[in-house]
Amino acid sequence: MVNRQPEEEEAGDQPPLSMQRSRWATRKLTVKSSSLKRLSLVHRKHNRAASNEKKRASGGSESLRQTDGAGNTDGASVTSDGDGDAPRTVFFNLPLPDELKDEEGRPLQQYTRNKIRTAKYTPLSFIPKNLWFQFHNIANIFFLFVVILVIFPIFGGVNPGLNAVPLIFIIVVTGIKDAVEDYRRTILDIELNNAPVHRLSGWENVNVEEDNVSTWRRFKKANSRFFGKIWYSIESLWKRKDVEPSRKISAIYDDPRASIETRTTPWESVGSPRSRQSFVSAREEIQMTPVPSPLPPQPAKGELHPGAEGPRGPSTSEEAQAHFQNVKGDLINQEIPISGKARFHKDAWKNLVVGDFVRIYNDDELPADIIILATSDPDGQCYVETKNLDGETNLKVRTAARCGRTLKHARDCERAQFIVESEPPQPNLYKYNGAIKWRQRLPGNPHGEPVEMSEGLTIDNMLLRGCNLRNTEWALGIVLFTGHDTKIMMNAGITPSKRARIARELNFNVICNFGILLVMCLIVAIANGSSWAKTDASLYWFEYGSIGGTPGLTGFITFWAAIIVFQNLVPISLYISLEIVRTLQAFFIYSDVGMYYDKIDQPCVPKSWNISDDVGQIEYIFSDKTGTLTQNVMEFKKASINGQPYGEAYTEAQAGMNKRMGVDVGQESAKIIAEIAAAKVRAIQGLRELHDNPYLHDEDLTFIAPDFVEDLAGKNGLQQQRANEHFMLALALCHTVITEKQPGDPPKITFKAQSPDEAALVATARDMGFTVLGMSSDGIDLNVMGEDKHFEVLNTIEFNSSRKRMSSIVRMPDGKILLFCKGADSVIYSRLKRGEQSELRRETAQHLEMFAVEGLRTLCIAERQLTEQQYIDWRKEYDLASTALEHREEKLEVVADKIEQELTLLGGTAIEDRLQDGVPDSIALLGDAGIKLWVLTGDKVETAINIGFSCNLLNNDMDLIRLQVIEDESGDSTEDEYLRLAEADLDKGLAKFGMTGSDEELKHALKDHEPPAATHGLVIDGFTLRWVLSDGLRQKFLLLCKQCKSVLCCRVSPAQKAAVVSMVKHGLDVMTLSIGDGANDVAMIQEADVGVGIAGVEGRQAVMSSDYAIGQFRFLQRLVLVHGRWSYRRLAETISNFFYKNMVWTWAIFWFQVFCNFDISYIFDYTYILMFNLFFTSVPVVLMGVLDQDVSDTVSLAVPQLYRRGIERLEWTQTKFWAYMLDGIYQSVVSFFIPFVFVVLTAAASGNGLDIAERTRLGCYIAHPAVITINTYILINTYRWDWLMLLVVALSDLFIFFWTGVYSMATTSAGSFYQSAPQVYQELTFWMCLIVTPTICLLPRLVVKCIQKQRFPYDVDIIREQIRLGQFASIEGKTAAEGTPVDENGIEGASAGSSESSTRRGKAKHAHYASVDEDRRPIYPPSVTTTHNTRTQNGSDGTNYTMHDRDRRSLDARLEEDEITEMDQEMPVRPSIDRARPSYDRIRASMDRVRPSLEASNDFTSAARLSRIESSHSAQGQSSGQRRFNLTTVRKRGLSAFSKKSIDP
Amino acid sequence: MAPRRRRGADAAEADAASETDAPKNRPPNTAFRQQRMRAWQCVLTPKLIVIVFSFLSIIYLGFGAYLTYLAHTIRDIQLDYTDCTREAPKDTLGPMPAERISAHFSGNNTLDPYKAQWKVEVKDIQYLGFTAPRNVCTIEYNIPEDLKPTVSFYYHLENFYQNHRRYVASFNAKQLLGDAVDGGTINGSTCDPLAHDANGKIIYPCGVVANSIFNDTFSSPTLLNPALKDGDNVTPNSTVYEMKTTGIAWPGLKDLYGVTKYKLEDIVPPPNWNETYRNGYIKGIAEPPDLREDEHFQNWMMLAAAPNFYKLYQRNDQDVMRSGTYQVTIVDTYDTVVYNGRKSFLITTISTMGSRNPWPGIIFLIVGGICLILDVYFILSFFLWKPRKLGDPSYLSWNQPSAAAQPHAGAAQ
Repeated sequence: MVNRQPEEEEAGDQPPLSMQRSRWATRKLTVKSSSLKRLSLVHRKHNRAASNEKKRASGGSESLRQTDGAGNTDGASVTSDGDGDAPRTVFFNLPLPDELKDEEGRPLQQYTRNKIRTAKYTPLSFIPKNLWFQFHNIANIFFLFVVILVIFPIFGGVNPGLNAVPLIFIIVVTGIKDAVEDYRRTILDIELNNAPVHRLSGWENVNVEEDNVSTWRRFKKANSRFFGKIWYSIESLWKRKDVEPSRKISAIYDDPRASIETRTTPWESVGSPRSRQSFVSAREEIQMTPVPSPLPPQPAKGELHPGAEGPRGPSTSEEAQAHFQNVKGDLINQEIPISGKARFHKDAWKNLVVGDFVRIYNDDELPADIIILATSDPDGQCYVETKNLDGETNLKVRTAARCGRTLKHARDCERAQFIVESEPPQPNLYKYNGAIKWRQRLPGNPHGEPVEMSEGLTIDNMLLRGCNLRNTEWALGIVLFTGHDTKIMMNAGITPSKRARIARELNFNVICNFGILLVMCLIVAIANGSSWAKTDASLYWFEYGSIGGTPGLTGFITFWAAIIVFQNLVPISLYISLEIVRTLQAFFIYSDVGMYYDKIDQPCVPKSWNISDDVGQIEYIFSDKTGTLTQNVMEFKKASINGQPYGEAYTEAQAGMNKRMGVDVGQESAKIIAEIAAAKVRAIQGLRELHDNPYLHDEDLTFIAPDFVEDLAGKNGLQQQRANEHFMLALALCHTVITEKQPGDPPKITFKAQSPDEAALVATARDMGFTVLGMSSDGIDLNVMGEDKHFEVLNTIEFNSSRKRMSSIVRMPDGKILLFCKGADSVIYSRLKRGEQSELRRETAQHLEMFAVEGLRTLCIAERQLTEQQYIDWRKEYDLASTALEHREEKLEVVADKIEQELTLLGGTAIEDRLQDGVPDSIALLGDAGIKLWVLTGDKVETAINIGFSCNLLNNDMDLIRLQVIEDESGDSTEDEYLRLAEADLDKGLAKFGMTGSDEELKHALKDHEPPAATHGLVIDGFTLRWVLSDGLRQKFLLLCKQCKSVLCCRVSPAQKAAVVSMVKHGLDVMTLSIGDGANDVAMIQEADVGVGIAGVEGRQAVMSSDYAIGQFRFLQRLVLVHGRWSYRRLAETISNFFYKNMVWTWAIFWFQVFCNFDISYIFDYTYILMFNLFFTSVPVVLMGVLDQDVSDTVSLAVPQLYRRGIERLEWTQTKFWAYMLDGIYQSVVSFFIPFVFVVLTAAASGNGLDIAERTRLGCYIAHPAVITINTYILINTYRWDWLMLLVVALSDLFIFFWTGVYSMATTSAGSFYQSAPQVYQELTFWMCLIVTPTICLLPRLVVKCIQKQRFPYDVDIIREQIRLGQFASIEGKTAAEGTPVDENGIEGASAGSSESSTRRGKAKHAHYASVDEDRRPIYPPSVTTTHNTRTQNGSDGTNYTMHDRDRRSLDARLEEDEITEMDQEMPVRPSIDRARPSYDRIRASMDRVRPSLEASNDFTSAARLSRIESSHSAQGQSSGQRRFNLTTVRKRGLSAFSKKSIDP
Repeated sequence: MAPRRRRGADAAEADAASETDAPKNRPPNTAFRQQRMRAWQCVLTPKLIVIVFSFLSIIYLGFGAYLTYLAHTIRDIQLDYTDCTREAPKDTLGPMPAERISAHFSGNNTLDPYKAQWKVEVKDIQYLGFTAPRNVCTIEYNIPEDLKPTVSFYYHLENFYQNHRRYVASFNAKQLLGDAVDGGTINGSTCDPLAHDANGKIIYPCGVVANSIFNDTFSSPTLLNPALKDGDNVTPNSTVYEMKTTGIAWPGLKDLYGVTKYKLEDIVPPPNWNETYRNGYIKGIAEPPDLREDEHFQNWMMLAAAPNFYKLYQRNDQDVMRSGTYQVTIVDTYDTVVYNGRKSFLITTISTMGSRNPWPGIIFLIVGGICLILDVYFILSFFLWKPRKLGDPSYLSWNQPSAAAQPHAGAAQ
């Protein structure tokens, strides 16, 4: 870590030309956003309130939110409504005002504790709570009810204890499962809650009074303390291991850290010019306005702050402000004595309370939402990594409140007197409003009245929980929001308990079965009651009264008895079996070696065991970008320097492109990779020869360019050598990275930057011998080819998203002043000096285009030589602008724009945002399966589009619909205006599809599961999303999105991600899957039906909250297409078969009631009833649910279209359910009546004339065939008969024989069943019955199956036949052992179309492609402008995603639609150097192949476009006023508008 | 498996460290774990379908024919004597209505099985320790053919529900085994409401099943006009076709019963046993029955599944029952009329399929026939009318012309 502090301190008195950085903070502007976002969140919560109220309740009970409301009587301005929704006022070293205290002087407002709990249970609450939840399941209540019924013998229950076993079993198993799942969460919570933080102790925090408890609450507290103790003792018993470390931690807490706060901090720095005082800080936009003080004056004592200048009145004029006058705000009240007791001690996160001072050290994770008062940086800046919040890994700058920067030590904190007024907690990550108020004596007036001062607080002053402090030694802050009030927690979804869709739909069927059950029981009751009313029946004469006494009562009792007997209609065993099936499915998912990622030793870990079937019905996948699709590794791959292309690379995008062109990718890529490896060796060798660079680590080299090295060595002339050197120098000088030296031999220097691209550029400069050693106060220290040099950096104009460029003004060692500028190609080209370098520009443009085709992100590098006078003039202007009070940023931009002109092109770079392995393939495969993939990212629009192209989500044929409501910074626009704009956008988009967004269209959309044609893509940003997600527009948005092949949502917050998922999930009633890797994805992971977490190197939050954790995105295809499909199909079949088999069994019992006056006696021996679902039939059906495969995994992947049945949810339908039910009833009729006819309609069905017509023996006659029927039925419904399945079916069938034999022979306690087995088994009638009954039962099903398979075959039936014919033999051979994606060539036979199109592919003309399968169509390279028709282009008006490469085509399509240039083709590469450049040639070849299509499209290459827009911005004579106007437009509309304006003559 | 964590003060940290060393989490690459077990994919090809159905039709038609034949070898006659006491002529034989008779014999014999005669008379019947007048029903019927042994004699009850919920449990297994189960246990047991009499004495055997036992008694059939036997020159007036009442219950059932160990003064017979135990159990005179040997009782305790049931009353395993006119006398004490029941007796031969039942044969033939028809249909349909090529990709949904508008389907054009 670089300690920037001393350097800055030395620079206390800044020389006029020292390095000045103007920072445009990378914060997002959000206007009027919070309320709406909040609404959407509320809405979301509302939507799933049903499933989640449990979670909320638990969270609420744990936190100390309970307010008794009694304290509110005095009508305080602060209402403590328990939710903390009121604005909060926090006091520091000031007594609470009376209205905020209750009668006993305790604070009224209670804040949420910082202790969080995401776990559902505590060990103590587990049993009651878990039971409570489990008995929310209607089926469980029913089972419990039945168990209770059985206890009363009057209902004819046989064995209440035995009857309760299944229920107890399922409750216990489910309980254990819940416990295991929750245990993990508990561990994590405990870990987090006990994480250390340095908190100021020995100091009184007036805001929170721990002991402020009424008697009732004291009682509750005592209770919780008591239970807490029990909890911990239980815990310590259970988790003995954990005790040790926690003790260690507590030991650490006692140890005050001898740390930075005791170190002397140079106060002198405060006295620098920077701290000259005025009422307004000119350099910051923070205003400190004195307000009239209503408070009584305080004793006027104390000293002035050192370095303070003369007093300024509140009415300071503009001019005065321009002279850097300001009052240095200071929270410290010097009059307060220092107790010296206050120290920063290590404490646990959970002990933080609102109003605490905390000190955060580098790399610490923030424990709460904190207002920064001071940092180790004298400018009060600190860096944070917000990956956990928004997924961006770059560093962001946050600034301490100006008034707090004097705080350094614990003792300062003791004396700081101020109030923080804050808005209530809300989830918007990009917005915060608050103010610090304090009273301070005006400088120069030491004895005067202290003036009430205030300073606004924005999100820039806030560090949010979950972020990490980076590159900042420490930061000191005050805790403002804790626990569930923090933004991350408010964004985090509530830990949902997900239930599979089938499980939910099952409820309906269960209710149906309840209905059937009730009807059956009612029939039984009525019939039985009337039987008992008879006086001319045997029962009247021989049974001495009925059970109930009167017929009515008897019927009533019989009703309940019938419920017991027919309880299997709502089979408890179904629930047990499904639990088992799902658990085993999860086990096999875990076991799949094809989803094992060896690099981090990560198999696919199912966290939720019960939703594997949902994975088989996914229609929408929502993916994060960073870390999910990409590796989040930026690698410098290629460069174009002085017209020479350098660098060897083989990107995923290119592989994908080759694949579509019919190249054998496996062979090709192996060849290329070998070539690259060889080149790397040569390059390194060359580099080492040139200069043995100690900072070059061979393995880190990404820019593999042996020819570059040769040129650098001067083998091709001095000119190129100089150019190369200069280029690398530019890279090394023009940046804002922070260096980090890692000790070691050789030492390692790594770079941290706000943008990872930048770090990659600097790293490559390092590898090439231009190592940035560090940033000093006035410049950059470089090691140039072994020689340490210092370059004085005069100014750095930083990057921001509207400028799309950054510049450094450097005084070179030879005294020249050079401006290096790097930025998006269009931006740089438009600023090149007119009329120069025409050939170079053309070539470079062409190279950049080719880089872009490969999926690389391109940047242009240019320079400008400045004369001394030019610089001085500009500098004056710049300084003035930088002190402006109003529109400072815009003014700065105008000034910057002035100098960034007349540039000379140096070259271009190409950086690969490395996709994860196999991402394009996987996406294509998932697309073939009919799954729509949306990308939801917190990243910039440009980046997202870029990635969209590289992973084949977008292509050039697509018409990009850009939804954009431009944010108005002034905040003048009303919500209605935004809504209107958004609606207009949506209507325009919908009009392209001839839609209006009506309800009928939605209805149609609900039924339509076909993936949309690849004609349109949609891009939307977070701000716009906010509006289109509003109630009125949501439907239109949804319909529009549904028409688009790809949807990219950029700049979205976690909550918005979840809102989008929720919109699709509920709006289209589809199954959704979210995949992500960061904490910012947690909300969407939880919202989606299936959440998948990528277990990356960093951050486990996503994984922890996910349902499946996988190592790589590509495993998703296996998870979804193989296991998901299997699981869904299996489970659907299992459930159907389960209902069926219980129908057979239960209805068989029912039919018997017809013959016993509906008096509810069993036809079967009681043990049969117990065994039926336990041993006789359950194992095959479970095994089918676990192991059945219609087609193998390889075929599943080879024919992804098979997955569509899952999307359309055809495997589990109500039709299927009722078909199986009816089949079950039919079979029950057969199963009962065939044996009945065999046995009862004759005097003796036995060969010896003895009685076999006894009740339980008839039961044997019925049960045996029934069991065999059921098991055979299950076997018939199983596709794959492996030995295990056959064995289990056979064993299950044999088991009923075995059991009958053992049980009826062993003991006379079998009663009348005694010796049934030998009696029954010796009868021919029995065996005849055993043959014929299953046959009759199964015949209809078999016939239907035969006809269906032959006449109306499903896709899978055809595929299975093809497998039988050996068409998949080639790929089946390659088993999935390595989990490699299957080569699609193997399935030519599978889809006849593919072979046709492949033969056609060679000679096809462009015109044909429209009708060709999108997949088979030759790809149009991303950055090549192609067929945009102007009509559709209008819809994407206002695009501002013109950043790097591809997106620009939409720009020129609009700008230049009717211009034609001949520059695009056959542009000769300057033949100065003749050498083999494999990578370059490769791309050229690919480009040439698509050339005809380009011609046909009558459009331009980006290279041509670039050459046309070049220098457009270097035009002279624009008045600054006009410029100003332009710039504001630019800021609002993005660069497209910018360029347009500039080009307009 | 516990996931690795970033931050951790517990032992999981140690796990995490060791996890990185070896690929500990790699799932074993076995056929079972990777679900690659050897298997037969059951593809219903036309060939397979036709083979299966051909096989089925052959099997079922064959068995059907055999079973039908078996059923037709059975000879039996069943006579319903329910109304004997009310309708039959007193003391003199009169014709019995033909609808009371059902019989299966092979045709052309002079003896018409449907011509039976019956009478009722009141006789004093000797019971244990007393005599009492009872209706005695005498039925003469014709058996046109010799019946080969085994000849079984069943009584048949209709509309008698032995299968009601409380009825089926209304006995005490221990008591039947002979144990002297005390009154406390019996009371409140499944035997209620027939656990004890008004004086608190235990009813033995308790429960409604024993109480409701069928107590008509049948004589062995007597051949009234026996044919002249070889070497016997005097035509006997009549010959009794001796039928035994042993071997009429499953031998294993004896295990469930025993001689009671009750003292006789503690127990009373069930109320309906009044007919035979008018004065209760009396030592030496009216001892309780030895249930272990009482096969009628044991058969009665085999609770019939259906309200119409047969129970074996007596049988002859050795002798041929010659054709002729037989007479059976029945002590008719069991009143079935009150509960709308009927009673009859059946004399039948037995095959391996038991007594006469045409249904199995019919069912088999029907199934076989259906399979045959289906088989023919399948052959015609799958091979002749519109055969479908196996694995024809044009049947795939994404190759269907109807889906041509969709992407992916373009390839089919």
